[in-house]
Amino acid sequence: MLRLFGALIVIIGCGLGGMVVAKSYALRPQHLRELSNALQLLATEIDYARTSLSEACSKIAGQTKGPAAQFFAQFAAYLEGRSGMSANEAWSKSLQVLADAGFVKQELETIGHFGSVLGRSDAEDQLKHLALLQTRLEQFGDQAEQEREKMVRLWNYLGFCIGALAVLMLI
Amino acid sequence: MRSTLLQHLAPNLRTLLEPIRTWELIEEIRLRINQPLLIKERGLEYGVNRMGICRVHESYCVTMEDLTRSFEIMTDNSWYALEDEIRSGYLTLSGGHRVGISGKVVLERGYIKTLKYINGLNIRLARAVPGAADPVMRQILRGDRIVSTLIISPPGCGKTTLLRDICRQLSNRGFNVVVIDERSEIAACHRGIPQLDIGESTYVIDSCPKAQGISMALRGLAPDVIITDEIGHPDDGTALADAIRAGVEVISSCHGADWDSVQQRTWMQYGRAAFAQAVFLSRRCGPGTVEQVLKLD
Repeated sequence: MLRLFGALIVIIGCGLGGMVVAKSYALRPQHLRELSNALQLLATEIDYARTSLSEACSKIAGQTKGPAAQFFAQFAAYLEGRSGMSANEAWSKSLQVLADAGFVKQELETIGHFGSVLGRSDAEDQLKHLALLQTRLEQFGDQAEQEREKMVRLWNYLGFCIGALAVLMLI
Repeated sequence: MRSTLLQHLAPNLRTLLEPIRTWELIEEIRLRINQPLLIKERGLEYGVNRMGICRVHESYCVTMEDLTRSFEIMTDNSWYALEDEIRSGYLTLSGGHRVGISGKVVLERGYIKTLKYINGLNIRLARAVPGAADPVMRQILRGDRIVSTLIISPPGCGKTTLLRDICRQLSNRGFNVVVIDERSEIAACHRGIPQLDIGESTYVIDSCPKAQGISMALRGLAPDVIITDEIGHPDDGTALADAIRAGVEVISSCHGADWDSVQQRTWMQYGRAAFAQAVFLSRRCGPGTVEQVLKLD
């Protein structure tokens, strides 16, 4: 009886672990889309209203969802801190929010690189850099979508399979 | 004043400048890449190092990092939001302080598109001097009538300070004053809000070319007097003469050493009729020394 109970726990535990991994694959395209949308809002603020970076990002944090909202809120908070932090430093430090949300290394590097030009040139140049970053995010989004289709189903089953295998080996 | 200015500088420069005891005397702070950090007090230049004010050659040397970081803070990390100001070579900070910018100019079809490789910042500290206009107010306000006046001096003699105080005094006496502040020096607006006292009945048209601003004021703001700084373009002269024809008095300033040199300026052909008197300033007894009031007929 106790063995049966233990086996069930192992299978359910591994199954849930698999589902968590599957969920992260399922959410990645959505997170990338939300970040891309937030960058589009930033482009609009720069292009039409010439809003200062801290004000624009604070506004965008309220209009966006998910990790993108947290990222922009964190970035705006660093800028408003008046500690003398540059936009690049604030952007780099805020990337931790995206890292915690499961953004992968390549994505973080690409987003991080944009920090070195952010706010440091005229509107025309800023919009070009923003468009470039959005294009890269769309490419990452497409890749993430393809991975999602494969990996979500895989991990939903794989977790339980690993659990079952572990039980067989233990018995 | 110390805190309003220091917050715009790189942390390293804040540490150096904060302990200075003579802040109320500082007129300018000069940052040039790889050159000594300089302050200007009572017309003289001094250096600054970890020990405080020092001789120029003992001063702390300004680094590229100091300059870049200060500029990022001054622009609120938003260069794009201040394109026009940067293109014109200056910024106005909160507190009204004004920053002249030098660097490499990028041209597009012969016009300045932007500046890059910023290599120098000249910070002029804004300071309202209430009462600066007291020596000339009797000439400017005769009874309840304002006399159109041109203020003339070489740079740095207090023209703008005098104009600001004239504006404040006329405004507080109930005249409807419109300031056309093309270079944001009189009212020192930051995001549209005057940072210096310009009186309670003053409208400010900020960062607007003078000729266009004068037309706007005449059309919509019913001014008793229009105040503007540093006339130089023939269009400014024409617009001021138009204001006089519309029954509005004008008070303005221009660079010049004496009346003869001012008369040779092109704008005078159009704007000479706008003024009934000229006030000459010098630094003989400090900025704002009134040398002469000349009646023009």
